[in-house]
Amino acid sequence: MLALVVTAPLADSDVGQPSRLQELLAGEVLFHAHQKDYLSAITHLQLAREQGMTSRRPIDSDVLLTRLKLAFGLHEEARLALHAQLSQKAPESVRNRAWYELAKSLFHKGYLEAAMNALDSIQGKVPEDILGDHQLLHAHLLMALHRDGDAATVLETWKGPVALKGYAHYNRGIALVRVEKYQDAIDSLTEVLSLRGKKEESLALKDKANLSLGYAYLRSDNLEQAQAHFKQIRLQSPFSNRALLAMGWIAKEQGRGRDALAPWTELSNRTLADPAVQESMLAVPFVHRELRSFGAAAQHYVEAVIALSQEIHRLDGAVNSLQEAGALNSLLSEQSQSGTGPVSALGSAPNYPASRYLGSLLASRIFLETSRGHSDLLSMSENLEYGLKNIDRLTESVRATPAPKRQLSTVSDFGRSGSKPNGPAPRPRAAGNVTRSAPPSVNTWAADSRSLGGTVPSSRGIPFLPEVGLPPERAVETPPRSGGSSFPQSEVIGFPESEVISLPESEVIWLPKSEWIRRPDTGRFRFPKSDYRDSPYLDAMSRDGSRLKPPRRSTTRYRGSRAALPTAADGEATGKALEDLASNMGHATERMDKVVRGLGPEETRGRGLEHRLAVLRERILRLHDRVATVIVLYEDYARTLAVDELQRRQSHVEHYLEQARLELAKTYDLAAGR
Amino acid sequence: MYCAAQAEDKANFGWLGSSFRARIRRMAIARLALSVSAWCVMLIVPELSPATAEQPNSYHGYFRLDREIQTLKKEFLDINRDLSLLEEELLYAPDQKLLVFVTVTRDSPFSPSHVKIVMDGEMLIHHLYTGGEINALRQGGVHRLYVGEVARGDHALQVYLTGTEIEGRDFQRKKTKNFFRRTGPTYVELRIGEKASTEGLEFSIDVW
Repeated sequence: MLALVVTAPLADSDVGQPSRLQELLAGEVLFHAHQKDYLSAITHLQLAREQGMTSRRPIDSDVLLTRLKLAFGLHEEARLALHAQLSQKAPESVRNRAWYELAKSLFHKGYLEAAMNALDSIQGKVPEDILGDHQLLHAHLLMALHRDGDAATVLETWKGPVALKGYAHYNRGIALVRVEKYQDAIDSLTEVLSLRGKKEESLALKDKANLSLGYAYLRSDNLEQAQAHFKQIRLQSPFSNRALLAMGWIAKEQGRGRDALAPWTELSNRTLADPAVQESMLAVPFVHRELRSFGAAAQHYVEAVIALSQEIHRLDGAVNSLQEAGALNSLLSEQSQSGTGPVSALGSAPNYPASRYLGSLLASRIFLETSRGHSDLLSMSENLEYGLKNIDRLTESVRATPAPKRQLSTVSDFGRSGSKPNGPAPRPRAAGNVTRSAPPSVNTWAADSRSLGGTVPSSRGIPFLPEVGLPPERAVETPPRSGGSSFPQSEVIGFPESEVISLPESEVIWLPKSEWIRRPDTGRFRFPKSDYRDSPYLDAMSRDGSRLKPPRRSTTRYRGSRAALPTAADGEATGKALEDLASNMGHATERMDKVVRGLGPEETRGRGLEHRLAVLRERILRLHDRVATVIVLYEDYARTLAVDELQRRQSHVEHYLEQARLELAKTYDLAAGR
Repeated sequence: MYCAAQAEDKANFGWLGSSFRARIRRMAIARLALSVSAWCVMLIVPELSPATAEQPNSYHGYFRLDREIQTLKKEFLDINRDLSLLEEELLYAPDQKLLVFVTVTRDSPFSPSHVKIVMDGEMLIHHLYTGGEINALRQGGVHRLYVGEVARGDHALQVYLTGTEIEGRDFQRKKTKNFFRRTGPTYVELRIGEKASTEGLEFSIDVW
């Protein structure tokens, strides 16, 4: 469904043609959304929007983001956002689809009125692919709000995929039963039986339809038809207990008490956790007593008292077992992973003492939502822990990797000024040319656990060396010092001997530590005035970027003492050389200024990154604590739901037990002829 | 909703580059606008009222928890976004970034199962696709296969692709692409497309 939103609005987009990169980034959001990885999808979309890389109109992008947030479980934020966004110029199909999704989410969360408001906001044509779902949801909502007649009307004109047809007929039948239109209800429920399908889902739906048809016929006093439908229910079906019980009562109603014994006896041998079975435990001796078989009746009542007492004891044990974290978590996790229908819930109930009583609770919407919330919280907690590890790794990476290893734009410019415009590309180095880095999903640490595999996701951990090899002494930490007659080391660092002749070819030069940490205090490369002429420095570059190629000897001579300086005999050539030298000095100073300007913020940036990481770490820790607290609240709530259900059942069984004891006494009295 | 504490955290990062500060400013303005519009909407849209006559009391406890989890999820999203931004900023120099995407043309009869990329003779990455990923690709999803860095200069990219055709036949392809990385990020798209008449699978590598 999200695919339609991603692609459809492009057609009537009022923005320019999106670039291929924008399309790819949009597709990336879709890639995660289709895998139900909404966290990654949202994050990718948010980042693309902030970087102006979204290929959609802002309104479409907003609606998509809201819908992803809705799918992620932020229905309140989504509700408010959609009310703001959908009043704008969103296409009708997008608008109606978004309202439908909001209504569905709110309905499942139990916000019935808000869900109805969302559905009421749908105007115009509902997209074809959700038309059937929309009508079903509308009917569900109306039925939940006790507007059964309206629900039946909505479903009367139901139109949708064949797979949902059975549900539409069934729901309409139930709605009509509730408004006591039995004949219409029977017609609708009979439609379900006519549908083809051999899968468990459709067979279970037919069992349910037969059960409902039986009840509908019972209410319209057509006992034969009712019995005929109860008989069609499969014996292994979860609905067969109620069918057997009803068949017994029909036989009893028809004055065939002995015939009632067959289904009830079959039922009484089944698992006692089902209320229908408990009822049959009392029904069987009741028939025996009516048949004046007091001995058998008394025996069955005694058996019922014993069985029901044991059941109460088991229920006590089940309540106690819920205090164990393992049992409760098992129920919660099992439910969040299983299907949503009652059949799957019953079928997949885990093997804990409490689970045999909690089939209906496990299938209830409230428990499903609770278990989903619990599952989301556990997942969040794991991700936060993983995020903490990532933060720690990143912090280590920032600390371990010196700032100059990161790229500086000014240095890049600096390098470019000296590069040959059409020079050959540098030969790829055997190693380090392509820097290894983390796998692709590093951006979203929710998805990291499967892709990163716990590796350090930092390409910065591997020293990124410049393409021009530096001599080992360049990496020393010792600040360069001016030594005697020689030039300060810092003046020549960055240009190894070989580089005097051949320029660095890369546009990007990664400077070693010594070149940025230990800069001259003045920030400018300047020699003492008195020595200025005595200590000429031939920069490797001229102002116009071409390489100066002074003879080695002359450089050596210049580096000598005043006494060794060339005399007037060198005349004009020396003057020209000094002029060039001064010019180059000025240019070198400018270049180094650029480096200094570039490096200053970089130093700060390293510290800043650490600070940002620390702030983020603190936020993660705080959130992790809050998540842990809410996990406990969810577990307490789920436990309360389960215990309430068990106690409700216990009270039911206690009522039957009391009745069995009374009936037993009554049977003894009758047997004694009193 | 806009969180003042987060804004304060971000405002403290005055040492950041001007572009980042500008981005923060833009985000703050956008959030403020969103916040204002959200408030306006809240005045118009009735509050989410969980209590309805037919709902059992047990729902009230659930609604409280539901509000809690939504607050947590919101904060979780914010943190995830901030961490992603930080990682992006920290791990990859924008000028040297290399991104490799995999796309499959809609209704393509081919599904990739494994992709391996070798750059300059060294393994860059390999990925084994899951069923969910293949479905997502076939529905227009784009997989960001690799994010990393590449130095300026000439490079040779070799892509090894294996997968299945719609008829169930396996296929295996290898393609090489040479490119020269200039300044700025490099994007590579491996496009798995329709069946070409001569070679079978149409599979291209675009670099820009």
